[in-house]
Amino acid sequence: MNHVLLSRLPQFIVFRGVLSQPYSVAVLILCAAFSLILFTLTTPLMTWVLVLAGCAVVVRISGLSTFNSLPTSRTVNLLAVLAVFALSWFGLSVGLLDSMINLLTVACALKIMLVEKKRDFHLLICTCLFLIGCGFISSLSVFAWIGYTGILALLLGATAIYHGAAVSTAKHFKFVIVLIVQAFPIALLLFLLLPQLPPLWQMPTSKSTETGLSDTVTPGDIASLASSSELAFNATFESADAVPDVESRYWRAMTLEHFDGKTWSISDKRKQAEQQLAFMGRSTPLSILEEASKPQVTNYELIVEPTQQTWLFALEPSFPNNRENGISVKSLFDYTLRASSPISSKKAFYLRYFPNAPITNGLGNFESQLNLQLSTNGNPKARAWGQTLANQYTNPQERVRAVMREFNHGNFRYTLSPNAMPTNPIDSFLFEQRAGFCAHYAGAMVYVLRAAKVPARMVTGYQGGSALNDNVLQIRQYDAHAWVEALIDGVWIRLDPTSVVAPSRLTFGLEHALEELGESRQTTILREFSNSAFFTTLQSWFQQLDYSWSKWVLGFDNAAQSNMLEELLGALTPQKMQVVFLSVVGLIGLILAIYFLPKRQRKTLSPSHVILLNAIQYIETKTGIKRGHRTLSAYLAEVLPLINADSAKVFKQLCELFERNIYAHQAESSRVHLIMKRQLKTLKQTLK
Amino acid sequence: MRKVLAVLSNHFQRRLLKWLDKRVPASHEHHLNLNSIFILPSGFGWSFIILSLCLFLLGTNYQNNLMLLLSYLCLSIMLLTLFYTHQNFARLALKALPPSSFHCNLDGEIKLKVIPHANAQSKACNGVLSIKWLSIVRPTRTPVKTVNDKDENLASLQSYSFPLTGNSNPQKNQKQTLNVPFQIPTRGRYALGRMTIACDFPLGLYKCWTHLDFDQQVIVYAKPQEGPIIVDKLANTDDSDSVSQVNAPTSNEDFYALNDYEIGQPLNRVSWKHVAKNGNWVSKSFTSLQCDSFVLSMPSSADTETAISALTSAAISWTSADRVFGIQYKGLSIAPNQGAKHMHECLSALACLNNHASQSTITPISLSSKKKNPMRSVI
Repeated sequence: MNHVLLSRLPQFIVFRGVLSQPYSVAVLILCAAFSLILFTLTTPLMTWVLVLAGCAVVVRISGLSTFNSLPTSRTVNLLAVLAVFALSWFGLSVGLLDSMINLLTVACALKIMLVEKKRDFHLLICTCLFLIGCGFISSLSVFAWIGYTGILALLLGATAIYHGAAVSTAKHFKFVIVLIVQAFPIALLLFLLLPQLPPLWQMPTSKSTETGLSDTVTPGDIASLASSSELAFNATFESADAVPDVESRYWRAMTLEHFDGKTWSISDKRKQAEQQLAFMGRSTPLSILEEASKPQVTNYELIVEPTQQTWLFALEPSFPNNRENGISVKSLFDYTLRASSPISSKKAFYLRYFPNAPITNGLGNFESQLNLQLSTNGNPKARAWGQTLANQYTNPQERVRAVMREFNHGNFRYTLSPNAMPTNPIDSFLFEQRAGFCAHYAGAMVYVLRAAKVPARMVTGYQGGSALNDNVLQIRQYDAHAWVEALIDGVWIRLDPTSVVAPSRLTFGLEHALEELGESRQTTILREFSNSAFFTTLQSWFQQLDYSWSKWVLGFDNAAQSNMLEELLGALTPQKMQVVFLSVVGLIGLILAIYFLPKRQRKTLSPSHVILLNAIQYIETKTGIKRGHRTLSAYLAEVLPLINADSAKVFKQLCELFERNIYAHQAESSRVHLIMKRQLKTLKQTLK
Repeated sequence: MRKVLAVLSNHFQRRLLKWLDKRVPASHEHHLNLNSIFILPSGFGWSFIILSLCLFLLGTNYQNNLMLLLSYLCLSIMLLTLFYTHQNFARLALKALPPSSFHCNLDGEIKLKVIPHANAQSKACNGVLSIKWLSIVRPTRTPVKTVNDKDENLASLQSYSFPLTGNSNPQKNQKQTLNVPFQIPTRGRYALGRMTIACDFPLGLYKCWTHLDFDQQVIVYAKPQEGPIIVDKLANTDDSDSVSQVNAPTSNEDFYALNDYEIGQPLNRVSWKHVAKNGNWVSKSFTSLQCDSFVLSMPSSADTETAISALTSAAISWTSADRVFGIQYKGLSIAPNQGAKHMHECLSALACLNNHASQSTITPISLSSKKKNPMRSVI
């Protein structure tokens, strides 16, 4: 045992030696910060980059001791050339943004092995700071922010240690924490009052982080979304009354009008038509609806999680309130909404909901023709059934009712894990399996209706939402849903086959529906744990926190800013804006003054001195003789004959006590102070 | 073209120094304050600002408030560090100790003592001071020798760093002393110029600096170089009745006093009687008239610099041999004497001997420039 310790001893000594050099400590902390950043960036980074960076950190740390030598600059240069080749090879597949992040990380990793000069160290600090910024592209939670601020503190601490000689590490960190805490109010002020600019140019988005619905639906896609309980968006209404009923919480995102026998997608013809119409400058039916300004309007705000895509979901039909939106949103002729740039961070969108307005046929014949097209690729039985329906009923409404009836009474089952249906999916679903998920039902119904000469299309989006507050709904990925719209009498009518198969899916949400059916969304053992009361309260607390964070920090945009200023100052005029900017400067100056103006140090008189001064004041008022600059004993001699014997005695004692306390350095000064205080009181009494 | 640039830069340098003389006047002791401190972002500071702006752009383009917040946080940190850097540097107070003379082939050294600042007694300046000579010698109005200037520039490029101990160890009441080396390649009496003292504590984002003139004079001795010199024994003259202590046991010496023996004194002066009697080592001192001392000189035909080098070398060797000597060269004549103090006097005199050394050139030019002003006013 002892032997082992002894053999390790030189290593320990080296280690301690490393820690005593500020340079090494700074590099060590920099390495720690860099590895923490790596941990947070595992999604955008490629595996080989992570491995390379990890190795670089290990090499660097072991290189701090004298046992291991660092790689030469030739080795590192060679590595750099290899890395550039690898990056340009893989760069195409991961997209511009991710390859830039990878490039930065590789550069950082290679440099960290060769920190020699001051410049290298500074370069590393700057690169790491920028990587923190890149981290915010994908992680936006409160905890990400706290974590990254911690890493920022580490980086600044490393810089402080690098530059400050002979000051202890703890002191440096204390300084850095104070610095960040002091900088925070200024940053907040800038954040609140500097104008929030719209995006200056289009930035590349990350492919790896596209989430949510996709613009094509193969039955089964939505089932995979159902396993995710991530937040999709929050909807905040003005009051609890404005929140729509459970049954009408259909958040429409896309209409899928093209079917190739397996997959539903947005029709190319529709896209072309939209482009042409936009070019001709025709206003969309939604904007006409907006101009008509129906009395019943519900304003609401969506806080959308980043999807890296442009489509938006809204209660049908809703019109974007572009005066307040940071990213402008346009409405299309099928009543769907598109943002002008991909939603790459949590954003707030302001919308106006018209509860009773119908979705009209926006493009006349074009829409009905488009939605009668039937893929003849397979599914013969379903087509045949549609044709019999068309022959059987003349009224399209009756045909629709017949299909719904079939779903209701045909022994259909709602399940998240249906059997695979590779060939003739609709036929095998309708006539063999009779078990599926919302996309199966919607797809089959649209197909049959089209065969029955009723124009129909599939709509995807979200349905439902759990209440976070009285007026806030939270919609998660597992609320993703697909339903049907059929064009009857020039109006698109919403039909939801799922509602007849599994009514609880609509009224109580997916989890409840699955529970009834004996299925579970989650397949982990944590389920029991997640149902416990403690966990639920914790979860709801975190949800609240996340919502507030989204609303007040992430969703803070130009609209919120001007609202805030209007509340403070009334209507905004250019003059007022000038005042605001000047006051920003003034406030920052004030904050700096509070921090840095030398505080007037109050003269700290000892308590005995204070008591003596008080006593002298009493005497002065009594006798009218000022002490001035005379010594205490001289003043005493002059004053004593003028006051009565009692007070003279007390005053003399007081002076003696004071002198002894000050000049003789008595240990029990607190006791002396007590005595002096008592004497002061008696002096006051006797003088009267 | 080059010449024009050189002239221009020279001109600006001079203007700068003139301005500095007004703003930060020379003094033995400097307590840094608002007037004397300059502050600008360092290279790292500029890159930090650019980084913050990049983050701002990125945050705006991605509409990412957290990135914006980070960028604002970085900018605020930059702003606060400005004050912290200044605050720290403004606690620095330095006092110069008079520099000792040195030979022009060696390095001189000025000692700066870190003293508590008048306005901040309790806290000390921290960080690493990097000290650099702005101009080692206070410049004259016209450059004396261009070659010298270049040498000076080269030497002044070098900066020396001194980690300050601060008051990390309050028990240790020792004050830190910074030894700043400098080189002056020619002999003469010089007034030391300004030195640039910089510090980038706490984060290296800003460079805080000052140009201080500690108002110190230094005499640079000539380079000692052995050479043939003429040694004259001084004739006895009646009018010279000055008395000095000598050690050479010459014929007409008179006993003068008994002193405690010091190691290194010649053994032949030890009073052996006293040693034998009571073991006290006592040495005898004698008085003698100057007549038997020597005068070192050189023929005036010899090259001045070689002559001065040879005389310097001789003065050093004669002093180490503890002999009495005087020096006579050109207009310079020093009465014979002995001892270290005498040697320094001789060396100083030799160093400042009129030639093209700085002193001689300054006077006429400064005089002429002074004369100019009244003439102008008359016209």
